[in-house]
Formats: sequence, structure tokens, C-alpha cells
Amino acid sequence: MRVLVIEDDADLRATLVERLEAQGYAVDAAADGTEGAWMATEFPLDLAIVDLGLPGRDGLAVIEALRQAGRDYPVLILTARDRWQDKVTGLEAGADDYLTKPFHMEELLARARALIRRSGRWSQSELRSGPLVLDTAAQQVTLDGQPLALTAYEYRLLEYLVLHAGEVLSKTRLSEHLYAEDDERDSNVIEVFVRRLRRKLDPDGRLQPIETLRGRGYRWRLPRHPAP
Amino acid sequence: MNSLRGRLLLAAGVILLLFLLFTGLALERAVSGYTRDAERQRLQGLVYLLLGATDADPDGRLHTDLSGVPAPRLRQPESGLVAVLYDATGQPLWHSPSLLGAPPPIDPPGLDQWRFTAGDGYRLAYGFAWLLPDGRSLRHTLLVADRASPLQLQRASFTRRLWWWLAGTSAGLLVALLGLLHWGLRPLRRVGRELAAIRDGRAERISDHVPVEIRPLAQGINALLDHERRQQARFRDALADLAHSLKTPLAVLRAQADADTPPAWREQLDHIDRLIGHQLRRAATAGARPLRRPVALRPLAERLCRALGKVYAERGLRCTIDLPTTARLAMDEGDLMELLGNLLDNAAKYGHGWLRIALDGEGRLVIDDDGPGFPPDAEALLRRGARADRRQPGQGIGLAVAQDIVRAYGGRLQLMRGPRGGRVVVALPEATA
Repeated sequence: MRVLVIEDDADLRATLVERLEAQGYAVDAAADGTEGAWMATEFPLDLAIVDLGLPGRDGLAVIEALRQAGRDYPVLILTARDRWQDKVTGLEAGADDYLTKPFHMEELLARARALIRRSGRWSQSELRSGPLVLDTAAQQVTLDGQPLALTAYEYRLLEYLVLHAGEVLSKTRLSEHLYAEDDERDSNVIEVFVRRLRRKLDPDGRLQPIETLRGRGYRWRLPRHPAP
Repeated sequence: MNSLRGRLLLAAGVILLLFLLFTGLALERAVSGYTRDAERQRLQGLVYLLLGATDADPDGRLHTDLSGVPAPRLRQPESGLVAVLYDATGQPLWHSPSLLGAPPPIDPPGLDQWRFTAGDGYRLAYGFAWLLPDGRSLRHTLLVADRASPLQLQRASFTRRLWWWLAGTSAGLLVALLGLLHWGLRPLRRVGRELAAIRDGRAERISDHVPVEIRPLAQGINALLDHERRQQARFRDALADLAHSLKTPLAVLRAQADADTPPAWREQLDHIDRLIGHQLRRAATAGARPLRRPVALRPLAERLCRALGKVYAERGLRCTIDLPTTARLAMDEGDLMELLGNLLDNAAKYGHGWLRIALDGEGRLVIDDDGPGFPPDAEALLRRGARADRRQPGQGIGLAVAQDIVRAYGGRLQLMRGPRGGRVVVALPEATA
């Protein structure tokens, strides 16, 4: 899951990046509206967290610009202005949710997860697919009720695959959404992680959850529960 | 009398009426005096003519021969013009053929005296002595009376015409006066209309094209309006800046708090946050103010429902808006948005995905949800004035904020049981036009 944080306060930005990365998100950060708007329209993102009072370009303008450019990932507004007039203006500009400062970090993480889930058309906080259950809040996975030990990167890949169940996901797209812009990227790593996931999820080869489409990428082929 | 127009009209009307009355009376008096003099002279002339046509017998009896007198009406019966000759004791000796009945009694005037009376016609009596050749003098009185003098008839018709003319002139003057007042007071009426337009939100300021007498008034109102709007905007900006500069550091503190942070610190952070939020909101609430442009309720409710639909997308929020398109409230738009936003958000948060906003028959706002309703002490808490800054988070802070705003407008917020769950009723008498 790739998240963009646009926040001008350096301390708050650093804290946000740190806490989001600890949750397994790939995080890009911008300190002003101009840079933020460029990142928001150019990067393959799953969520943007935008402060409204920004130097350079106002947060509202950034949101309008990214929607204008046809980007439809969810946007969460962070704002010190807690009047409904500001909230409504922000939501009308194209944001999907808002959080007023000062916020509880847990609240922010919960909203971020919910927004990402919603964009994958999942409505519950637990993602159920076949015998597999992903608890996105606790980042825990169970298979037939048995907890599964996954590394942070393995979990990130699995969650992305399940969220986009049924879609063909290229290796480039996977690496773009799992790594931030500044991370070292190697599409071979994806192959390695897919192989490891298959071994952990399906040791006896009866489920076949991840389908390989030669030259196109991977597809999660287990059904969603409940079906959307 | 509380209208300039009424005052001017009444005063002008009274003055006009008095002026016309005195003019009429003076003219009538002048004419009547003139007629009297003219009649007296005419009758005097007739007396001399009659005396000239009179002769005495040798035994002293007087005879009047009317054939030489140029007054044919004396010979016409019932012509109204009569002449009677009385002796010294007032007994009639002779009268003109025009008199058919008995001659009127007379109180003889002194010798060589004229007595003129005007009433039902004019009468002129002349007392004289006829000297006989034998040296006797015979005391007589000659009376000439005219009941239908042509001058008097003319005078009556003249008076009638005079009064008609005066009445007509007054009516004309009154109409002109009405027009004058209408024209003269038009700028004042226009200022009144423009103020109403500002109140209804159709105009921003009063036109400068007014007469010099009320230009300072119009300019004063405009300056006041501009000043107030600028002040309001500056105030809001300052509050927004203050909020931003206070809340971002708070957000940093709170975000960096972790499991090792003492719980008392977290509590104090929460308390500071609530305090700032409450005080800033209270300061930002504009409250009731004259010349407020009323805000259309329905578009605002629709915007809020669309926005809340996004925030509560997972619940599939269904918003029923039962508001007429004409519904307006004379509130600051930000205040109304804040009030409705908090109430609708509360309904969406504690309900199960359905809410309804409507106006009841008394113009009160009614917001229903399909949640569990309010705890029994909720209204008591609100009534006792539990302040938003003392409340625990998640304990319906939205309601307390709404209550603050309703209070700023002198209104009342009630919590009730609705048909499907909770119901909030807001009465805003000062904002309901």
C-alpha cells in the first residue's frame, strides 16, 4: 500500500511517515503543495493524506488537481480548521474523509485502512477470501482458523493481492505500490515474495490462491466473502 | 402620527382648508357689501323718481302717477318690487299695483331719514314732509321694497359658483400635494426598500444616488455594513490562523505520544484540545445580528448530506430532506452549517444509516435518526449547560456544540424520542422570519 503524506510541519510529517511505515505502508512525503500536487498526480498511490493549510499550493487545490488528473484513490484531509464549512468544502473538492488536528494516531491509521479497503470495494475490516482471513487492523492472517506467521513485506504483498482480488496485477504495479519512490526496487524481489507466499499459504498445492499469467503478472483467484 | 407623509399631508390639508375658508368668506363679504350699496342706491333712485311723480291735492292728499316712472315691475302684480306710501301714523295711504296683499306694517323713520334693511330682499324707507301751498307740512313715509332684486339673484349664483370653484381648487391642490409628497419622499422609500433587499440577501449595499439630505445616512449605513463584513472576515481569518498554529503542535505532541507516555499527559493534551476547540468555536459563532441575509436551508442540507454520505459511505447513509425550497433562516451561513453539520453528523454517527431533516408546522428544525435514541440524562446535561469543553470525547460533543450555537441565537434545543430513534428539535425564534 503506497501512501502520500503532504504536511508542512516537519515534526508532524516525520511522525506520520514513521508511524505509517511501521504499519507496513510505503510512504512518500511532501512538505508543500506544489511538490505534493506533482507527487499526487504522478505516483501510483493507494491513499493520500493532505493537510489543508499548506504553503505553495493550498491543500484544496492539490486535491482538486489530482482529481482533475483522473486519479481516483482515496484522499484523507488533515486540518486544523474544524468548522463544517471547511469540512464540506474539502469533501466537495474531492476528498473522501477528514480528520481534525490534533488527532489520535490510532484514529488516523484506522481511517487510512478503512479508506483503502473501501477503494478495493471491501466493506469489513476483516478481508475474507476462501479459507483465508486478513485482520487489517492487527495485520494478522489466519488460514482455516490457524494463525499464519508472515513477515511485514509478505503481509503487504498479500493484502494488496487480496484487496484487488480478481484483477491482473503486473510485477511493476506491485513493486510500485509496495515501495516508496526512494526505496530500492527490484521486480525480481516480487517473484521471490510470491513464491514464499505460495509456500506459506498453500503448502500442499491444493488451494492455488495466486495465479501466474505469463508476461502479464499475477492474479488472486480465491473468491471474496462476502461477494461485493 | 408616525409617518412623514401622513404628517405633511395632515398639516398641509388643514392649512389649505383654513386658507380657502377665509378666502371664501372674505370674498363673500366683499360681494355682499357691494350688493347692499348698489341696491340701496338703486332703491334711493327709485324713491326720488316716485317723489317726483307725486303730487298733492288742494286738500292735502298725495297722488302718485306711475305712468312716468321707468320701473315697469311696479305695475306688474307680484313682481316683487313694491312701493307704499304711509301717513304720519304709519297707516298706508297708497301702494303700487304690484302689491296684491296688505301692505307691510312700518316703523316710520324720522324726518329726512333713510332706513335701509336687508333680509328677505331689500327695503328702503324714507321719512319726508310734504309742504302744502297753505304752509302746512304733511309728514309721510315712502317705502320701496324689492324681494327679487336682480343683483341679489346674481349674487346668490355668484356665491354658489365661488364656493364650487374654491372646492374644486382645493381638490386640485390636494391632488398636487399628494403627488408632491409621493415624489419628495420617494428617495426615503427607496432607502427602505434597499435595506429590505440587503436583509433578504438581494443586495450588498445601499445605492449612493440619493438626495443630499439623506446621503450621509446612506453612506453611514454602507460604511457600517462594509466595516462589519471586513471585521467578520478578519476575525474569522485570525481564528483560523490561531487554530492552525495551536493545533499542529498539539497534533505532533499527540502523535508522538506512545505507550511510555504518562496517562496524565495524554489526558491534559485531550483537555487542551477540547478547550481550544470549544473556545475557538464559540468565538467563531457569529450569533444573531440585524440585517442578516437569510440562508436557504435546503441547499445547505443537501451539501451536508452529500459530504456525510462520503464520510459514512460504509453505512450506506440515506438522507431524507423534507424541506421546502423556500425555507430560509436568518443565520450566519457558517453558523447554520456548523449547527446542521453537528446535528446531522451526530444522527449519522449514532444511527444505522438513516436520517431525516425537516421543518415542523412551527418552523422548528426536526432531525430524526434510526439509532438507539438519547440516554435519559442527555437533555438534563444539555439543560444544565454542560459545556463542550468539559465533555468526554465521543460523548455527543456535536450536540453540545449545536447547543452553544442555538443559545447564541436565543433558541432552544430539545432531545426527544422520534418515530425511528432519536430526534432533535431546534427552535430558533429569532432566526425564523
